[in-house]
Amino acid sequence: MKLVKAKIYGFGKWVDQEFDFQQDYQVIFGSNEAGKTTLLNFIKSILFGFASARGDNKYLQYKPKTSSQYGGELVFKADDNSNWTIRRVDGKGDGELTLFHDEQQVPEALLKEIIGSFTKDDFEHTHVFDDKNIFSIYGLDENQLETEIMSVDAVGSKEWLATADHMTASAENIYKRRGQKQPLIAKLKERDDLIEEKAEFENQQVVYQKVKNQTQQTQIEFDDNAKLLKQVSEQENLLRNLDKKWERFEKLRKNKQPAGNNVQISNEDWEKFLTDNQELSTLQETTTTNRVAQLNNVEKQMLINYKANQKRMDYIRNQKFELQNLQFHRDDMKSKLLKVDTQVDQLFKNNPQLSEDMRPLSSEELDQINPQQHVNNNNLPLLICGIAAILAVVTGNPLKVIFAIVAIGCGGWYFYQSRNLKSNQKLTNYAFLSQKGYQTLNRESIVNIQSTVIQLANYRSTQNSLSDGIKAIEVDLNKWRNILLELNILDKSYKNDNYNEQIEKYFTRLDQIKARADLNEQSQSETQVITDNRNQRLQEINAEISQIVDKYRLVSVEQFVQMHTSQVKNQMVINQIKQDKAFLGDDLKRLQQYSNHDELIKDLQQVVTRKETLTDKNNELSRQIGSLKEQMQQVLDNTQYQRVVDQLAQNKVDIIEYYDEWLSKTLASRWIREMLNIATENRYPKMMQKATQYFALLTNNNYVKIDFHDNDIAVFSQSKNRFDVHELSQATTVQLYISLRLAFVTEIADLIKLPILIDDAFVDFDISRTENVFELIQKIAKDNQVIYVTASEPRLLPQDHILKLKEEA
Amino acid sequence: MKFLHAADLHLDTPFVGISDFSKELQAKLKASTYEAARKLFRVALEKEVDFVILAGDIFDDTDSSLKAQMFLKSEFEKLNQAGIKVLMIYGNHDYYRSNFSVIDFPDNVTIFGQNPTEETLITKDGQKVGIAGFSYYQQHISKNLVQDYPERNGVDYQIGVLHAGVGDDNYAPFKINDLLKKGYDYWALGHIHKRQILNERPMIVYPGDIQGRNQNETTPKGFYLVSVENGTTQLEFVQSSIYTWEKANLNVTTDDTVDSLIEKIQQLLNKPNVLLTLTIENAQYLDADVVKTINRNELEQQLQTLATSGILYKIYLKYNSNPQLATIDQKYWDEAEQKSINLDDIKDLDSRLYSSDVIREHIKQPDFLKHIVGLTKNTINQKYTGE
Repeated sequence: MKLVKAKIYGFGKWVDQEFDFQQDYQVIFGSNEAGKTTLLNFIKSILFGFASARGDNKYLQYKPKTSSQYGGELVFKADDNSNWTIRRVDGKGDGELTLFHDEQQVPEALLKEIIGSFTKDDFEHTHVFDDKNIFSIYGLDENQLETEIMSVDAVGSKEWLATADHMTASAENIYKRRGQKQPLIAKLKERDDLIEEKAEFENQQVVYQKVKNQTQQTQIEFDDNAKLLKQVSEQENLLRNLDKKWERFEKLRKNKQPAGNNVQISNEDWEKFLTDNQELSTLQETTTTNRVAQLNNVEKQMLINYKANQKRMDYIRNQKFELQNLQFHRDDMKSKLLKVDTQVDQLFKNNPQLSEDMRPLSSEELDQINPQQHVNNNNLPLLICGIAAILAVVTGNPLKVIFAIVAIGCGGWYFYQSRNLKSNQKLTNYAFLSQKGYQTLNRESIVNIQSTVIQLANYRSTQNSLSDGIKAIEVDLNKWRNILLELNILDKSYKNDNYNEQIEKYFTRLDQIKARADLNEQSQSETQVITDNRNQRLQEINAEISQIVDKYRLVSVEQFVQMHTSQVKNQMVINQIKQDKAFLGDDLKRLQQYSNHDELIKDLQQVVTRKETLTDKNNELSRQIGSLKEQMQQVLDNTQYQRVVDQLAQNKVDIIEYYDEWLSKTLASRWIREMLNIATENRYPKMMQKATQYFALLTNNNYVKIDFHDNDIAVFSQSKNRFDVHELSQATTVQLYISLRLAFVTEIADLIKLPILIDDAFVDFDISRTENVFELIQKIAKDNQVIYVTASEPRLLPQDHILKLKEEA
Repeated sequence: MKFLHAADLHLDTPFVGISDFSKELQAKLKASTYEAARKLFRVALEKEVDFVILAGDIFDDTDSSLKAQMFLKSEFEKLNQAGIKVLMIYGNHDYYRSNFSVIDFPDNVTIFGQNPTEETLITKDGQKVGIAGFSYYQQHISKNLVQDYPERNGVDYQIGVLHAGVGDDNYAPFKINDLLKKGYDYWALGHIHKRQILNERPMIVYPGDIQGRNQNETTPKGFYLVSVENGTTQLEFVQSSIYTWEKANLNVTTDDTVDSLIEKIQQLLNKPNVLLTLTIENAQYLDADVVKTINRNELEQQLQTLATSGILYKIYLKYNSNPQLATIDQKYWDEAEQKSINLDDIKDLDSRLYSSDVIREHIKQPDFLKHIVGLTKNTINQKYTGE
């Protein structure tokens, strides 16, 4: 399709204006603000619709200010020379469209015949060149170009391309060449880790074999060691035992076997000796007891003495009680005397006036001094006289005399007293008073004291008689003593006078002696027989003993006993040695190897040290075996390993699954693109070929190749130097872009036949470049109509292809 | 005469894609290779066979097979008590290395060495049997070793044990004709996990593995109980697999909802101990929300809460057609496929990825390209509807 005419009803500054276009290329020249861009926008708007009044496109509205009519017509000439007229005026949406084919109105849908599947964006992107578009080259990549070119062709190709892109992206979610986190990469890394982990496990069987060998080896070592240990333990026990027995051994060593006296006292002989000795001692003892019964010399003497004085002694024995009586009397009198003495003392004490000189006054004397007769009841002498008379009757001979005398005396004394009572009447007148010792006393006192003086006189008289009695008895007793001494009944040394007792004692003893003497007399004959027998027996025993002693050629019994004692002692020693030997048993020989105890202890210590070493080794080996058994358990328990193996297996499956997914998506994308490529007859490579040609042309063959590497555009100079798009000058970059774009448009020219609109894109070009561009435009314009608006007047172009816009339309 | 022919026990096989399963099920799956092996040895005892042939790949991982070795030792010991011999070879998975096989097996076990040799034994019914075989001593064997097998010599029945693939260059490649020429009575093969009888007279047999190990190893797995009577060899397959992998397709329509899908899938999970891999056909008809539910694994989670005999392993969505595609001439697609998808380009696509052994190995798989084209088509189909 070639645009041949534009008819503007009203569009921006243009109102009711018509433009005719050359079918190959048309240059429209005008100064700034001449309406060049408005004209190009008019063409786009009629083809694809007006910009809406809303949003950002508002300023792209070209509603005329001077006319009520908005829109206009474009006339295209088709290859078959038929005309297509597109009319678009103000209306709903993008304007009201009317389409005519050769003046005939046809349905709007047939607009496709002119614009194909293009949208306004597509058109602007591919067919419109302005300084805004040109710099999009920096973001241009191969996929985009390919997609753009393919999207022009084939049914739904755009969707397919989107799908392919999506699959590529989706594949990259699984794996990306330089990725780090994508699952397939993670799985591959995991595999490396797992393999490393698996490698850390030693080969189970190698380890098993190793551990098994080690265990066996260690077991052998252990057994050997245990054997040694057992030996050493036994040795230790043995030595300890020897140590315990050492003391006994030592004793044994000291106990020398007694010297060899071959003559042994036989048990029989010894027994006999003992029996004899026993009997001997018994017999000797019996003799002693018999002797006890014999009278000693003193006793014999006593007996002789008795026999000589038997009559007298028997008399004395009978007079024993007489003697006793005498003694009794004497003692009695003595006690009476003592009593009287006391009474006298008492008398003096009670009567201080009393004096020893005082004599009782006779009754006449008393009457003289005192008419009053006081019958003095002085009957004491009478009483004594009575008592003495009685005693004289009852007592024995010697005493009878005494008592008789006493009785007479007392009678006389009484008489005297009674006669004297009468005197002692007048004190001074009476000479008898001073004579009788009352000089200092008055009469009354004399009278009063009379009883006391009489009393005293009585006492004195009693005292005298008692003393005489005692004296007489003492003489008697002395006679007796002499008799007793004479008869040896009393010993001279005996000073007391308890003769009765002595006599009793003496005769008791004498009786015993007499009895014994009688007994002795009686058994004299019997005893003689026994003694004879005993003596005979003694002789026999002594003979036997001497015989035994002689048998052993010993001098004395003492020697014999000594010999036997030493024999017994020896026997004990022998027995001890025997016992010791039995106790020591086999150890004796071992003990004998040691000269002293220290040697034994030294040996023992060595063995103990050895045992300790072996025990330590035993424990160590035991530990080793334990540890090896544990290791073996670990070797057999391969759950850890199995887990890694399981994980590896799972990881392998995962890798394959991810890989398959990645690959199928990658391949799907490729497949779709390839399919589209085929379906679009390989436009892309053709386009690239053309672009290369164009670029070479524009750059005077400076650059001979366009290449995409990792989606970045690069170009190669004739000298094969590679330049990244960023390294090119701006002008060259624009040249590259134009080459690619023009190649694109010309490549799809068979599908889309729309004019190329160029809006002063080459203003910065130098003359040479501008000329090259126009050369290229002329070249491609043969097949593709080019409408080129510019503010600078082009040179070297035919005037019929140049439309000059007026300054003010 | 009776014997068992099993291969590819792959003890200690790791199972993948089971992390969403309950711990119990995971443990059972991991133990399943052992369970299957137990069944194998139990049958040997029950049927009072003369011997058991294990044709390679007994261990999945020889670096750590002590557990498996100890397990086998104890099982072999039971067979020994019963007077049953074991003849085994190592395959490409458990090829012999030094330090390998540290556990001593009992005397009834014969392990063939690096070069083909022969063992003879007398069966309970008085047959003299020759059994020849060799073990792998490296992972790959490019040589056809069948010609090195000993010639048949004075035996009533001759067996060859071989771990190899037909024309598989890496694994002692052979041709069926090579085996036939040997004049043996039975070829006990291992290596191929799919059970197949390559020839009947004489028998050339792959018993397959004893327990399926991944979603592609479908059908019940087991071993052969072989009976030879009057010169006739009869095979009886005995299942040993605890879990059976299965695949199923489910056609969906635009009317399908999450609930209707759950109901339909539930019906498919009616077999006990089946691990089902489900492909939903015509996923393009499904509502976008339903697809999201499936992609987020929510459907599987909901199904796990329901009491089903079988276990849903995985759901794949298949987008079968795309109306949009029809607008573009098929010849463009075809031409583009030729140009854009080829193995060399895929290898060159990304050096980093190709340096991964896993991916390299994956690409080397014979049906890789077909597989990836299918996936790519599915991706293209999905894209147009899904997005």
